[in-house]
Amino acid sequence: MIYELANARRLAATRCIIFCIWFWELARDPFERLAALPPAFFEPLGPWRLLTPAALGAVWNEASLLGLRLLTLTTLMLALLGIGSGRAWAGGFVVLATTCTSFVRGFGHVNHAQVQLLLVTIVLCAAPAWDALAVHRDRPLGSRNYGFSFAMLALVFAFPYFETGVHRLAREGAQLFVSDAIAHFIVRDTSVLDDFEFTQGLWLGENTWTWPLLNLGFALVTCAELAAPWVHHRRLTCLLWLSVMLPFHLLSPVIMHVFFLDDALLALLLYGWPLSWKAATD
Amino acid sequence: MTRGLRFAAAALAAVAVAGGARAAGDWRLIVAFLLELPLVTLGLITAWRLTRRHSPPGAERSPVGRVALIVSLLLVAGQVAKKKATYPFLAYTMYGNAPSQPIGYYAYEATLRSGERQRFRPSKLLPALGSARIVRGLSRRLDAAGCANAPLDPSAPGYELIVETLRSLAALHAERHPNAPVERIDVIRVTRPEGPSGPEQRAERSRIHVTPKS
Repeated sequence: MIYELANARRLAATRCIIFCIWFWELARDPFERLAALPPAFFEPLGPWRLLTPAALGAVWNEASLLGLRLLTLTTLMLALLGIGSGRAWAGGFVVLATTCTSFVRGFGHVNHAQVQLLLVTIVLCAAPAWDALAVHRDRPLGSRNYGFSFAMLALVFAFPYFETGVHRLAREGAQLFVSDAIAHFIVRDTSVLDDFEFTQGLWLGENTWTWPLLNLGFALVTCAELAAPWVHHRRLTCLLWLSVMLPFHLLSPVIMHVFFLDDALLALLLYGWPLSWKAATD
Repeated sequence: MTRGLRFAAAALAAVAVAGGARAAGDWRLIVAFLLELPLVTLGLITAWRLTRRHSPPGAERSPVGRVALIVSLLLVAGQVAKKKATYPFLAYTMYGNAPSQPIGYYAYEATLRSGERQRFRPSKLLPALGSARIVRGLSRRLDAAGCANAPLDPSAPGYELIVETLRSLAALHAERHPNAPVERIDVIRVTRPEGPSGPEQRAERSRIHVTPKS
């Protein structure tokens, strides 16, 4: 396993980086401005389904939503710095982050951005990640297995990739990789999604000679997705996996207007960084 | 097999019944479901066992091991249920269904107060609106109003909500670009009937005046 040299500081550093990614996600997104949209457009999801229409009406204003965002950011900072019980703050943050991320998804498509980050954060709450780099450190009880904690974070991060690959094969089989499906997806997403202004996806669609290459890349990414839950057991498989998935994550905004930066950062954190570890003492 | 995995098998059997009932009526969905459930379950069991084999005895009973197992099982359940209500344990089906219809979408063109026309990109107004959220939300409502094949009818269901939402988006745009407020948004249906390499066809569906309230 690539986590044999894991230690308290490395797991704590992982905690800090994960919460820093969350900080970047939440601090740059003033989602309270969504209160300007008509409430009838909102389709409640997650904890928001528990609210009655009257309760939803009461919190449907910029001040309440700003309060939610600030509370989430405060909890995040307490968990990041490990002030008091960092684990308890992290648990509270998970609840609040679920509330925030489900709120923005109520305005349309329920996509997977931030979801793997959220799943990894849930597992992090139970890991001995506050044994170092925290204002108030947890007192280690007996032997702590930091490598196992990393493996659990990797498993939960990787499993959605595996599910994606399985669904693709179970639903369509290999036929999907010898058709014009990926060219269709690329042109469709480049046209529909307006987050970016790249036009390379349309060029790929118009030039049919590129389609066999697109199909090959699609099949390669699907193989990497299917292998994801096992790659962290060997350095070579880890390297191979990164060599497929990192270019995929970095190319997807250019050719499909889809960018999951969190996933690329998590892949580097959980698979790339451990490959560089050298023996160190706590 | 640990007690946790036995519990997982029982829970998955229950989810299987629910999923089977949901898929009834579409044989391809049923076949996919019958393949997907055992494969995902097998994947979880083998991944879990391999990690356990490389870990000290008892590690899987630590808090992090238990929580990771629960999260993984919920992921399997979410994958089978395929309901957005299970958020954040969603189904992962990206690019997994062969395209069954030609490419079709709605584009929005803004006419500014200066008379200049430009593409209106709702996703760029706020990060929360991006990643396909607002464009797919709008698209669903425009489809429901019959806009895919005909001009938007003011008596169509949801017309008022579409107009109100576009006006709110225009107001957000005006906050970001106070010198270039949007006066009107044209809703355009764009299709590629000949497939991804074919030409685009554009048809105007509606002109909505969205002058921000002063």
